[in-house]
Amino acid sequence: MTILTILREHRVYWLPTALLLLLNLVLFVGYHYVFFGKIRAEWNRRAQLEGTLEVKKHENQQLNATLASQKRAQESLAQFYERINTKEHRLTLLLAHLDDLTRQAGLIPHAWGFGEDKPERFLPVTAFEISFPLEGTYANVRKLLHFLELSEQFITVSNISLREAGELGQNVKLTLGLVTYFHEDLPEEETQRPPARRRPRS
Amino acid sequence: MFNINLASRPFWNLPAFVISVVIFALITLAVTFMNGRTLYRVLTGSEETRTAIASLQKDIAGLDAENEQLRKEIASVDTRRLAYEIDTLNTIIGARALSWSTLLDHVEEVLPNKVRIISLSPSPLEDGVLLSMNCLTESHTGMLDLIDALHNSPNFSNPTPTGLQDQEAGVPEGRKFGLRVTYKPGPV
Repeated sequence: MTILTILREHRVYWLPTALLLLLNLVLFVGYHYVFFGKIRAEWNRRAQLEGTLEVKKHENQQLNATLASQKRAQESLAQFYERINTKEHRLTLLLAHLDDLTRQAGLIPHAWGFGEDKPERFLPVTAFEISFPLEGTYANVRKLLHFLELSEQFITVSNISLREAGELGQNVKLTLGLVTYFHEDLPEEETQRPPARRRPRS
Repeated sequence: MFNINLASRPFWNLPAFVISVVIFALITLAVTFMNGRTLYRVLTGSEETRTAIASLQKDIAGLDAENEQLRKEIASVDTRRLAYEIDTLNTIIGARALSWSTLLDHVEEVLPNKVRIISLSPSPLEDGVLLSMNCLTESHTGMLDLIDALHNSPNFSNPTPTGLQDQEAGVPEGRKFGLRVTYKPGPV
Protein backbone atom coordinates (compact mmCIF):
# COMPACT_ATOMS: atom_id res chain seq x y z
CA MET A 1 0.00 0.00 0.00
CA THR A 2 1.50 3.23 -1.08
CA ILE A 3 0.68 6.87 -0.80
CA LEU A 4 -0.45 6.76 -4.40
CA THR A 5 -3.19 4.33 -3.50
CA ILE A 6 -4.38 6.59 -0.72
CA LEU A 7 -4.35 9.58 -3.05
CA ARG A 8 -6.17 7.70 -5.77
CA GLU A 9 -8.84 6.28 -3.44
CA HIS A 10 -9.40 9.61 -1.71
CA ARG A 11 -8.96 11.94 -4.69
CA VAL A 12 -12.37 13.44 -4.03
CA TYR A 13 -10.87 15.24 -1.04
CA TRP A 14 -7.74 16.74 -2.57
CA LEU A 15 -8.43 16.97 -6.27
CA PRO A 16 -10.84 19.98 -6.14
CA THR A 17 -8.35 21.78 -3.91
CA ALA A 18 -5.52 20.98 -6.31
CA LEU A 19 -7.61 22.19 -9.25
CA LEU A 20 -8.38 25.40 -7.42
CA LEU A 21 -4.70 25.95 -6.73
CA LEU A 22 -3.94 25.31 -10.39
CA LEU A 23 -6.55 27.83 -11.38
CA ASN A 24 -4.93 30.31 -9.01
CA LEU A 25 -1.57 29.69 -10.60
CA VAL A 26 -3.02 30.16 -14.09
CA LEU A 27 -4.68 33.40 -13.00
CA PHE A 28 -1.52 34.64 -11.31
CA VAL A 29 0.65 33.91 -14.33
CA GLY A 30 -2.06 35.34 -16.57
CA TYR A 31 -2.40 38.68 -14.99
CA HIS A 32 1.26 38.86 -14.23
CA TYR A 33 2.01 38.74 -17.93
CA VAL A 34 -1.12 40.34 -19.32
CA PHE A 35 -2.05 43.03 -16.81
CA PHE A 36 1.09 43.83 -14.93
CA GLY A 37 3.01 44.99 -17.99
CA LYS A 38 0.20 47.35 -18.84
CA ILE A 39 -0.18 48.50 -15.25
CA ARG A 40 3.52 49.07 -14.84
CA ALA A 41 3.49 51.18 -17.99
CA GLU A 42 0.60 53.18 -16.55
CA TRP A 43 2.44 53.66 -13.25
CA ASN A 44 5.55 54.79 -15.12
CA ARG A 45 3.49 57.18 -17.21
CA ARG A 46 1.85 58.56 -14.07
CA ALA A 47 5.22 59.05 -12.37
CA GLN A 48 6.57 60.73 -15.50
CA LEU A 49 3.57 63.06 -15.69
CA GLU A 50 3.86 63.89 -12.00
CA GLY A 51 7.50 64.87 -12.63
CA THR A 52 6.51 66.96 -15.64
CA LEU A 53 3.79 68.67 -13.59
CA GLU A 54 6.31 69.59 -10.91
CA VAL A 55 8.64 71.06 -13.53
CA LYS A 56 5.77 73.07 -15.05
CA LYS A 57 4.67 74.30 -11.62
CA HIS A 58 8.22 75.44 -10.84
CA GLU A 59 8.41 77.17 -14.22
CA ASN A 60 5.05 78.80 -13.53
CA GLN A 61 6.28 80.11 -10.17
CA GLN A 62 9.40 81.56 -11.77
CA LEU A 63 7.44 83.21 -14.56
CA ASN A 64 4.96 84.66 -12.08
CA ALA A 65 7.83 85.96 -9.95
CA THR A 66 9.48 87.53 -13.01
CA LEU A 67 6.24 89.16 -14.10
CA ALA A 68 5.53 90.40 -10.56
CA SER A 69 8.99 91.91 -10.32
CA GLN A 70 8.53 93.57 -13.74
CA LYS A 71 5.23 95.04 -12.58
CA ARG A 72 6.74 96.23 -9.31
CA ALA A 73 9.58 97.88 -11.22
CA GLN A 74 7.16 99.56 -13.62
CA GLU A 75 5.01 100.77 -10.72
CA SER A 76 8.07 102.15 -8.94
CA LEU A 77 9.14 103.96 -12.10
CA ALA A 78 5.65 105.38 -12.57
CA GLN A 79 5.65 106.60 -8.95
CA PHE A 80 9.06 108.18 -9.40
CA TYR A 81 8.03 109.93 -12.63
CA GLU A 82 4.88 111.14 -10.92
CA ARG A 83 7.00 112.50 -8.10
CA ILE A 84 9.47 114.41 -10.27
CA ASN A 85 6.62 115.53 -12.54
CA THR A 86 7.07 117.62 -15.67
CA LYS A 87 8.95 120.86 -15.86
CA GLU A 88 5.76 122.64 -16.80
CA HIS A 89 4.09 121.54 -13.57
CA ARG A 90 6.94 121.71 -11.11
CA LEU A 91 9.50 124.36 -12.07
CA THR A 92 7.81 127.41 -10.56
CA LEU A 93 6.84 125.48 -7.43
CA LEU A 94 10.41 124.28 -7.09
CA LEU A 95 11.93 127.75 -7.42
CA ALA A 96 9.48 129.18 -4.89
CA HIS A 97 10.29 126.28 -2.58
CA LEU A 98 14.05 126.90 -2.90
CA ASP A 99 13.55 130.57 -2.22
CA ASP A 100 11.57 129.68 0.92
CA LEU A 101 14.23 127.25 2.13
CA THR A 102 17.11 129.70 1.69
CA ARG A 103 15.18 132.40 3.54
CA GLN A 104 14.28 129.99 6.35
CA ALA A 105 17.98 129.16 6.63
CA GLY A 106 18.81 132.85 6.94
CA LEU A 107 20.41 133.12 3.53
CA ILE A 108 19.29 135.29 0.66
CA PRO A 109 20.45 134.39 -2.83
CA HIS A 110 20.68 137.50 -4.97
CA ALA A 111 21.45 135.70 -8.19
CA TRP A 112 20.25 132.48 -9.70
CA GLY A 113 21.84 130.52 -12.49
CA PHE A 114 20.06 127.89 -14.52
CA GLY A 115 21.63 125.29 -16.76
CA GLU A 116 20.42 123.86 -20.01
CA ASP A 117 18.02 120.94 -19.95
CA LYS A 118 20.12 117.80 -20.09
CA PRO A 119 18.08 114.82 -21.21
CA GLU A 120 19.23 111.52 -19.71
CA ARG A 121 19.96 109.17 -22.60
CA PHE A 122 17.19 106.67 -23.29
CA LEU A 123 15.21 107.85 -20.27
CA PRO A 124 12.14 110.09 -20.10
CA VAL A 125 14.04 112.28 -17.65
CA THR A 126 15.73 115.64 -18.02
CA ALA A 127 18.29 116.97 -15.59
CA PHE A 128 18.05 120.64 -14.75
CA GLU A 129 20.84 122.47 -12.92
CA ILE A 130 20.34 125.39 -10.63
CA SER A 131 23.14 127.29 -8.94
CA PHE A 132 23.16 130.32 -6.72
CA PRO A 133 25.74 132.22 -4.73
CA LEU A 134 25.13 132.47 -1.02
CA GLU A 135 26.57 134.52 1.75
CA GLY A 136 26.04 133.67 5.36
CA THR A 137 27.45 131.93 8.37
CA TYR A 138 28.59 128.34 8.16
CA ALA A 139 25.72 127.40 10.49
CA ASN A 140 23.22 128.94 8.06
CA VAL A 141 24.73 126.96 5.19
CA ARG A 142 24.49 123.74 7.21
CA LYS A 143 20.88 124.60 7.99
CA LEU A 144 20.08 125.07 4.31
CA LEU A 145 21.72 121.77 3.41
CA HIS A 146 19.67 120.09 6.11
CA PHE A 147 16.46 121.65 4.76
CA LEU A 148 17.34 120.46 1.26
CA GLU A 149 17.89 116.92 2.55
CA LEU A 150 14.47 116.90 4.19
CA SER A 151 12.70 118.55 1.28
CA GLU A 152 9.91 116.65 -0.45
CA GLN A 153 11.10 118.09 -3.75
CA PHE A 154 13.56 115.90 -5.62
CA ILE A 155 16.61 118.17 -5.36
CA THR A 156 20.18 116.94 -5.18
CA VAL A 157 23.10 119.06 -4.06
CA SER A 158 25.66 118.48 -6.77
CA ASN A 159 28.50 120.64 -5.48
CA ILE A 160 29.50 123.36 -3.10
CA SER A 161 32.17 125.86 -4.10
CA LEU A 162 33.61 128.31 -1.65
CA ARG A 163 34.16 131.74 -3.16
CA GLU A 164 35.48 133.47 -0.10
CA ALA A 165 35.98 132.35 3.46
CA GLY A 166 36.38 134.90 6.19
CA GLU A 167 37.82 134.33 9.59
CA LEU A 168 36.23 131.89 11.97
CA GLY A 169 32.64 132.90 12.76
CA GLN A 170 32.48 135.34 9.86
CA ASN A 171 30.34 134.94 6.78
CA VAL A 172 31.34 132.56 4.04
CA LYS A 173 30.58 133.17 0.40
CA LEU A 174 29.87 130.10 -1.60
CA THR A 175 28.06 128.84 -4.64
CA LEU A 176 25.62 126.01 -4.22
CA GLY A 177 25.05 123.75 -7.22
CA LEU A 178 21.77 121.85 -7.29
CA VAL A 179 20.31 119.47 -9.78
CA THR A 180 16.73 118.37 -10.17
CA TYR A 181 15.02 116.09 -12.66
CA PHE A 182 11.84 116.44 -14.67
CA HIS A 183 9.80 113.81 -16.39
CA GLU A 184 9.69 114.43 -20.13
CA ASP A 185 8.56 112.33 -23.03
CA LEU A 186 11.34 110.36 -24.63
CA PRO A 187 12.40 111.57 -28.11
CA GLU A 188 11.13 109.25 -30.85
CA GLU A 189 14.61 108.11 -32.02
CA GLU A 190 15.51 106.94 -28.50
CA THR A 191 12.45 104.81 -27.92
CA GLN A 192 13.64 102.07 -30.27
CA ARG A 193 17.35 102.00 -29.64
CA PRO A 194 18.40 99.36 -27.13
CA PRO A 195 20.70 100.92 -24.56
CA ALA A 196 23.84 99.32 -23.24
CA ARG A 197 23.70 98.56 -19.54
CA ARG A 198 24.87 101.50 -17.49
CA ARG A 199 27.95 100.97 -15.36
CA PRO A 200 28.60 103.04 -12.26
CA ARG A 201 31.47 105.42 -12.56
CA SER A 202 34.52 104.40 -10.63
CA MET B 1 -16.99 7.93 5.51
CA PHE B 2 -14.01 5.70 5.87
CA ASN B 3 -14.40 1.97 5.75
CA ILE B 4 -13.17 0.80 9.09
CA ASN B 5 -13.97 -2.84 8.66
CA LEU B 6 -10.62 -4.29 9.58
CA ALA B 7 -11.74 -7.67 8.47
CA SER B 8 -12.38 -6.73 4.88
CA ARG B 9 -9.71 -4.06 4.34
CA PRO B 10 -6.33 -3.37 5.76
CA PHE B 11 -5.98 -0.60 8.27
CA TRP B 12 -4.59 2.65 6.80
CA ASN B 13 -3.19 5.38 8.90
CA LEU B 14 -5.24 8.22 7.43
CA PRO B 15 -4.92 11.06 9.98
CA ALA B 16 -1.62 12.21 8.47
CA PHE B 17 -3.26 12.27 5.04
CA VAL B 18 -6.32 14.13 6.37
CA ILE B 19 -4.17 16.71 8.11
CA SER B 20 -2.13 17.19 4.92
CA VAL B 21 -5.29 17.62 2.86
CA VAL B 22 -6.69 20.16 5.35
CA ILE B 23 -3.44 22.15 5.36
CA PHE B 24 -3.31 22.01 1.58
CA ALA B 25 -6.90 23.22 1.40
CA LEU B 26 -6.21 26.07 3.80
CA ILE B 27 -3.16 27.17 1.81
CA THR B 28 -5.19 27.02 -1.40
CA LEU B 29 -7.93 29.12 0.15
CA ALA B 30 -5.42 31.67 1.34
CA VAL B 31 -3.78 31.84 -2.09
CA THR B 32 -7.21 32.19 -3.71
CA PHE B 33 -8.09 35.03 -1.38
CA MET B 34 -4.82 36.83 -2.04
CA ASN B 35 -5.13 36.31 -5.78
CA GLY B 36 -8.66 37.64 -5.76
CA ARG B 37 -7.67 40.64 -3.73
CA THR B 38 -4.72 41.36 -6.02
CA LEU B 39 -6.92 41.05 -9.09
CA TYR B 40 -9.45 43.44 -7.55
CA ARG B 41 -6.71 45.90 -6.71
CA VAL B 42 -5.21 45.62 -10.17
CA LEU B 43 -8.52 46.32 -11.84
CA THR B 44 -9.62 49.18 -9.56
CA GLY B 45 -6.06 50.54 -9.24
CA SER B 46 -5.67 50.62 -12.99
CA GLU B 47 -8.85 52.63 -13.27
CA GLU B 48 -7.61 55.04 -10.61
CA THR B 49 -4.23 55.38 -12.37
CA ARG B 50 -5.93 56.14 -15.67
CA THR B 51 -8.07 58.79 -13.99
CA ALA B 52 -4.97 60.28 -12.35
CA ILE B 53 -3.13 60.30 -15.69
CA ALA B 54 -6.01 62.10 -17.35
CA SER B 55 -6.12 64.63 -14.51
CA LEU B 56 -2.34 65.17 -14.68
CA GLN B 57 -2.47 65.67 -18.44
CA LYS B 58 -5.23 68.22 -17.97
CA ASP B 59 -3.23 70.06 -15.28
CA ILE B 60 -0.10 70.07 -17.45
CA ALA B 61 -2.02 71.40 -20.44
CA GLY B 62 -3.51 74.14 -18.24
CA LEU B 63 -0.09 75.10 -16.90
CA ASP B 64 1.38 75.06 -20.41
CA ALA B 65 -1.25 77.52 -21.58
CA GLU B 66 -0.78 79.72 -18.49
CA ASN B 67 3.02 79.68 -18.84
CA GLU B 68 2.76 80.59 -22.50
CA GLN B 69 0.55 83.54 -21.60
CA LEU B 70 2.99 84.63 -18.88
CA ARG B 71 5.91 84.36 -21.32
CA LYS B 72 4.05 86.60 -23.77
CA GLU B 73 3.36 89.17 -21.05
CA ILE B 74 7.01 89.12 -19.94
CA ALA B 75 8.24 89.37 -23.53
CA SER B 76 5.99 92.38 -24.12
CA VAL B 77 8.20 94.39 -21.73
CA ASP B 78 11.63 95.46 -22.95
CA THR B 79 13.53 93.99 -20.01
CA ARG B 80 16.87 95.40 -21.12
CA ARG B 81 15.48 98.91 -21.29
CA LEU B 82 13.70 98.47 -17.97
CA ALA B 83 16.92 97.29 -16.31
CA TYR B 84 18.81 100.25 -17.77
CA GLU B 85 16.11 102.64 -16.62
CA ILE B 86 16.11 101.26 -13.09
CA ASP B 87 19.89 101.23 -12.96
CA THR B 88 20.18 104.85 -14.03
CA LEU B 89 17.39 106.08 -11.77
CA ASN B 90 18.90 104.19 -8.84
CA THR B 91 22.10 106.16 -9.41
CA ILE B 92 20.12 109.41 -9.47
CA ILE B 93 18.20 108.45 -6.33
CA GLY B 94 21.46 107.34 -4.69
CA ALA B 95 22.91 110.80 -5.26
CA ARG B 96 19.79 112.34 -3.73
CA ALA B 97 20.11 110.05 -0.71
CA LEU B 98 23.55 111.37 0.17
CA SER B 99 23.36 113.32 3.42
CA TRP B 100 25.42 116.47 3.09
CA SER B 101 25.11 117.14 6.80
CA THR B 102 26.74 113.80 7.60
CA LEU B 103 29.29 114.30 4.84
CA LEU B 104 30.30 117.70 6.23
CA ASP B 105 30.47 116.22 9.75
CA HIS B 106 32.84 113.54 8.51
CA VAL B 107 34.92 116.02 6.49
CA GLU B 108 35.18 118.34 9.50
CA GLU B 109 36.48 115.43 11.59
CA VAL B 110 39.43 114.87 9.26
CA LEU B 111 40.18 118.37 8.04
CA PRO B 112 43.50 119.68 9.45
CA ASN B 113 43.46 123.18 10.97
CA LYS B 114 45.41 124.86 8.21
CA VAL B 115 43.39 123.42 5.35
CA ARG B 116 40.23 124.95 3.89
CA ILE B 117 37.93 123.33 1.44
CA ILE B 118 37.18 125.38 -1.68
CA SER B 119 34.82 122.98 -3.37
CA LEU B 120 33.19 119.63 -2.77
CA SER B 121 31.60 117.59 -5.48
CA PRO B 122 30.30 114.05 -4.98
CA SER B 123 29.45 111.51 -7.64
CA PRO B 124 27.83 108.18 -6.81
CA LEU B 125 29.70 104.89 -6.97
CA GLU B 126 28.35 101.38 -6.68
CA ASP B 127 29.31 101.19 -3.01
CA GLY B 128 29.82 104.74 -1.86
CA VAL B 129 30.54 108.16 -3.22
CA LEU B 130 33.52 109.49 -5.14
CA LEU B 131 34.30 112.82 -3.61
CA SER B 132 36.28 115.43 -5.53
CA MET B 133 37.56 118.21 -3.35
CA ASN B 134 39.66 121.25 -3.94
CA CYS B 135 41.43 122.71 -0.94
CA LEU B 136 43.58 125.64 0.04
CA THR B 137 46.36 125.63 2.62
CA GLU B 138 49.09 127.89 3.79
CA SER B 139 51.06 125.00 5.18
CA HIS B 140 53.61 122.98 3.23
CA THR B 141 52.29 119.79 4.75
CA GLY B 142 48.57 120.62 4.48
CA MET B 143 47.84 118.21 1.66
CA LEU B 144 49.85 115.39 3.22
CA ASP B 145 48.20 115.93 6.61
CA LEU B 146 44.78 115.73 4.98
CA ILE B 147 45.69 112.55 3.06
CA ASP B 148 46.95 110.96 6.29
CA ALA B 149 43.77 111.96 8.11
CA LEU B 150 41.62 110.54 5.30
CA HIS B 151 43.58 107.29 5.44
CA ASN B 152 42.96 107.06 9.18
CA SER B 153 39.22 107.71 8.90
CA PRO B 154 36.88 104.72 8.56
CA ASN B 155 34.60 106.76 6.29
CA PHE B 156 37.17 107.57 3.64
CA SER B 157 39.41 105.42 1.53
CA ASN B 158 41.83 105.68 -1.34
CA PRO B 159 42.60 109.43 -1.23
CA THR B 160 44.42 110.42 -4.41
CA PRO B 161 45.81 113.87 -5.17
CA THR B 162 44.71 115.33 -8.48
CA GLY B 163 46.82 118.49 -8.58
CA LEU B 164 48.86 120.94 -6.57
CA GLN B 165 49.69 124.59 -7.23
CA ASP B 166 51.74 126.86 -5.02
CA GLN B 167 52.28 130.62 -4.92
CA GLU B 168 54.75 130.52 -7.76
CA ALA B 169 52.15 128.84 -9.90
CA GLY B 170 49.80 131.76 -9.31
CA VAL B 171 48.03 131.01 -6.06
CA PRO B 172 48.59 134.01 -3.80
CA GLU B 173 46.76 132.50 -0.80
CA GLY B 174 49.20 129.61 -0.46
CA ARG B 175 48.89 126.16 -1.91
CA LYS B 176 45.88 124.94 -3.77
CA PHE B 177 45.40 121.21 -4.22
CA GLY B 178 42.80 118.76 -5.44
CA LEU B 179 41.94 115.33 -4.01
CA ARG B 180 39.75 112.47 -5.03
CA VAL B 181 38.59 110.14 -2.27
CA THR B 182 36.03 107.40 -1.83
CA TYR B 183 33.50 108.22 0.85
CA LYS B 184 31.35 105.66 2.62
CA PRO B 185 28.74 107.33 4.77
CA GLY B 186 27.56 104.08 6.40
CA PRO B 187 27.48 103.56 10.17
CA VAL B 188 30.86 103.24 11.78
